Formats: sequence, structure tokens, C-alpha cells
Amino acid sequence: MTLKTPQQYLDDLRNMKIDLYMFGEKVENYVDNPIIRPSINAFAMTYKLAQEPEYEDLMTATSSLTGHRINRFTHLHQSPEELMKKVKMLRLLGQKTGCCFQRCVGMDAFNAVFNTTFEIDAKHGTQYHERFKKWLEYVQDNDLAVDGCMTDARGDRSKTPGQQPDPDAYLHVVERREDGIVIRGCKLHQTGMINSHEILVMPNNTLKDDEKDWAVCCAVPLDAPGMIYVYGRQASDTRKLEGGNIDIGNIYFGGQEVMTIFENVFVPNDRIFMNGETDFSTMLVERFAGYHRQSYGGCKVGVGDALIGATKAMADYHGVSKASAVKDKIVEMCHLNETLYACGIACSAEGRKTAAGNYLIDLLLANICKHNVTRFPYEIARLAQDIAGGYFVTMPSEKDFAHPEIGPLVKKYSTTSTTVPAEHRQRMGRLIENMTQGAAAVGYLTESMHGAGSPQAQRIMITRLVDLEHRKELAEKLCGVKENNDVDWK
Amino acid sequence: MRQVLLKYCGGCNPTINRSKIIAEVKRGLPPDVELVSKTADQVAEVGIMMSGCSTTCLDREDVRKQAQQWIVVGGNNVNYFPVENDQLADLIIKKIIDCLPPASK
Repeated sequence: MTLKTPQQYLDDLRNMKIDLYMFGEKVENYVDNPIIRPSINAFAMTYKLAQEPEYEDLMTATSSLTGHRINRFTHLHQSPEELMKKVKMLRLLGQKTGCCFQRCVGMDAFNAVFNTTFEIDAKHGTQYHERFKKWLEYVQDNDLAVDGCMTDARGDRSKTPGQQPDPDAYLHVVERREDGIVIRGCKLHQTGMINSHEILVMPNNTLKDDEKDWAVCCAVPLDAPGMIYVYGRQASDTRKLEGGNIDIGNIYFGGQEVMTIFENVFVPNDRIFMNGETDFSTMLVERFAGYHRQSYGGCKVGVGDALIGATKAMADYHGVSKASAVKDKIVEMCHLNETLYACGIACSAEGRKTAAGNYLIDLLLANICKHNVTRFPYEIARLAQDIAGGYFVTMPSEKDFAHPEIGPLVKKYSTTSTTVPAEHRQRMGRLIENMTQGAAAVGYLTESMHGAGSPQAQRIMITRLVDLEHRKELAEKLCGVKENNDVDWK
Repeated sequence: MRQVLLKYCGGCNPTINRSKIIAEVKRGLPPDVELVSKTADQVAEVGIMMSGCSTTCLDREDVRKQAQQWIVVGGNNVNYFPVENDQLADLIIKKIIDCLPPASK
């Protein structure tokens, strides 16, 4: 079986026994928990669409390892065209879910670990690449969901991992045994963590020679002994407990962030893909971040499509969609959104082959892509709120709309047109609220800012990757500061 | 003379100075090896793809078939492995010598 159905995926989660906490209590049946379930539904869409003939060209691929038809989320990209298909797949899923669907981080980790382990082995004579390929075949053939896991707790930001007063501030190896290693630490902001079968742990940053214990990359099953999960809160999350289906905005889907604690977790040798090779931690981090910065040129664009649609609907409901100022603002939203898409496609089209054989995005353009993502969704959200008007944050609750006495009055004064039911405006307003300042804003806005690296991380990469001296020489040749040998005719 | 086929990319957005690196390579090669844009043989023994950035757009089928073995340069990568800028020329020279058959006596 290489393509799981959504039902099989949900059954897998139900069979998993994990140590999960939320609101100070242990959660036993998290699949049916109303706060968590929307995020599982969003993840399940990555399985659902892969089953549909009209989406299979984007959602599935032929495995370079086995030749089997697999879900693209477990695939190693084999060409610039496949890198572009990835971006298109993510846009599609953003459109269908209106939120973060959580599975791209694993795909980005697979591709980065695949080509980095090849280069580690070439230099150090290790066997990580073959081990990783074997594990990835298992992931592909069982269509597993994997959380790519990088960001540590990080303690004092002015200190490196080895300088921290508490060495656990960065996940590290606490014991090396003949049959494996024991790791301890905590990874924060883990998107879709408890909706996954497996965790692919990676180091967080550049490491010094004497920081070998922090240079660790390995795979851990979600239910491994010692794993503890603490569910992250989102704005308006408890609206999901109120029993209605309007005030939550997006009535099917949502995102998920989890604090993930590794409390002395044993990892056997066949699941270790880096163990002390500090000279490759930067490569792994930069490549993973590069792939993930490309991802945002797809997923956030898809969510943006849904938000633009909601804004257009609100303009129609209010009877203002023909006003030139409104039309112009919606054009601006589209311009910003398509610019992000252009960046996602560009860094893919300029992708290159790696020594291991899979394809890597153009790192500079991927960083440009993500840097725009740290800005444009905020402006798109601002314009959505501008056009939507203030009622989406001041309107009464859905229980007031349904109240036998005041309900008719609430509806009467919420009505904008005889052809638009008050409930349509109510639902669309709540969706815009959800995406721009409610639970989904975690994914659409703050994740756009900090996910795959905060803005300054991209500026550091841009500084490193742009050859300013080359540009200076171009100017000096044009104005005669330097001799220009190109012009050799009389 | 032993000939090595040299192909350049279009040079739209280079991250390395291609002509400077090739000039260093020429200086470091044995005197009986020359870099040429067209070889006497229809298919060259060895070729260098000199792409200015990591996209390595030269590495495509129509170029591949012009030589039996290629040294693929794409920005700061040689044969897709990253290399420091100041070591590029030396590594290219070493790979040319490794790939070429020994000089006939």
C-alpha cells in the first residue's frame, strides 16, 4: 500500500498512544477532540486529494527509490518541474483548507536530509545516506506523515548550544551506546506534530567543532517512550467547544502547533542520520530552510486565494463590489498574492541537481520568496479587513442570532440586501476574522513572519548569496571607473 | 595536444568569475593540454561545463552528448559538491588530469 486513504490515516492516529497535554490535562482521545480535530482534517486532505484523479498529477509522484506511485509529500524532487509541482500542490491545499495543512515540513526535511547525508558520507565515510534511504522507503511505502523537527527551545539567544547554562536548551545526545543514542531537549512550534506518525529531528543551527552532541539528525516514532507533547493555544480556540458551527469561521479545518519534549529518548543506530558531524549542520539547516521557504510561496498563496475570495464575497454582500476603490484594493491583494507565487515558482525553476541526485531550490530566490511572505500576507489581511468593515469583529455571537426573542432583531439589523441572508454575511465575516486574527491567523500571519525562519534570517542569507562586488564592477565599467573590454569596436 | 572541450553558460547572473577561473585553469594545466570550444573529435574525451551559478543550466542532454566525461561547474559547486571559491581552479585542474588519458610518448 503506497497511498493511504483519509480513513486509514485517521485509524492510524487512533491507534497511536501518545503522552499529550492540553489546558493542564492529559488528552486521551485526541482525534475526536473538537479543538484538535480541525487540524487533523486539514492534514487528512493531503491523503484525500491524492486519491482523486483530478488532483493526482500534483498530489502523487513516482518514487525515485522504488518506482512506486507515492504521495508527493513523501517524494524526493527529481527536476525543476517537480519542484514547481510541489509549489502548485501546496497552493491547491491552501485553497482547499484555508489554513496550514502541516505536511510540507516533513517533505522539506526528507529532501534536505537526503542530499546532506550523501555529502556527509562522501567526506567522512559514514553510512547515513543508505540508512536514510531505507527509512524513507518505509515512509513512502506506508504513506506516513512525518514532522520535520528543527527549532529548539534555544534558551539564552546570545549563547551557542554549548555555552547554554542548561544544555537541554538545544536538543542533544546525552548518551552514546553501542546500539544507538539517547537524546534530550525540546523542539518548539512543531506544526502538525501529533498528526504525524514519525519525527525527523534535525539540528537547529551552525555548530562549533566542540558542539558534537548537538549535531544530531534522527527519526523517532511519535509514540516512542520519553516523548511528551503539549498542545499550543490559538486565538479563539475555545470557540470550538461552544457547539456551534458559525463563530469558528472555518468550520472544517485548522492548524496545529505543539511543544515537543524529548525526555531521554532512545534512538537505535538504523534511525541515526547525523551524529557529531558539526561541519554539516549549516548545510542541513540552510537546505531545509531553503526548501521550507519555497513552500511558503505555495501554501500561503492558496490561503491568500481563499481570503481574497472571502473579501470579494463580503464586498458583494455589502453591495460595494462595483466601487472603484474596492475593486482596486482587491486587485492589489491579487497582485501581492501572485507575486508570492511567482517567487515560489522562480526558486523552483532555477533549482539545481545535488550530488545525491534530488533537486534543490535556488537558495537566494527561496529566501527572497520567504522574505516577501513575511510582509505581503499582512497587507493582504489588512486590505481584507478594510473591505470587510468592522462588523466581523463586533457582531453578536451565533447564539444571539438563533435566540427566539432577539434573534429576529439581530438578523434584521445585520441584513445588507434582500438577496443576501444575514447568515451569509455572518459566516463570511467569521471566516475573515478566523484567517486574519483568529485561530487561522497563527498560520497565515505569524507563521508567515517566523515559520521557516524570521525575516532577519533571510536577510543574512541574501547578504551571503548576492555578489555585491560583481554588481559594483558592472557600475564601474559603465561609468568609466574601470576599463570595459567588452566595447572593442571603433 | 590533448584537447578538453570548454562550454560556457550564458552568464546572466554569475556568482563566480568564469573567465578568471578558466584563465587560472589554463595556467595550471600541463603544456600538452588545451581548452577548446570545439574538438577535433566529434565527441570529446573530457569537457568542462562552466556555469556561473548553482542552477547549472548548461547540464542538459544536448550538451552532455558532446563529451564522454564532464566536469560540471555551477557557481561554487564542482560535480554538484560545494567548493570554496579560491579552490575552484585547482580542483578543476585536478579533475581534468584525472579524466584525461595519459599523454602518449
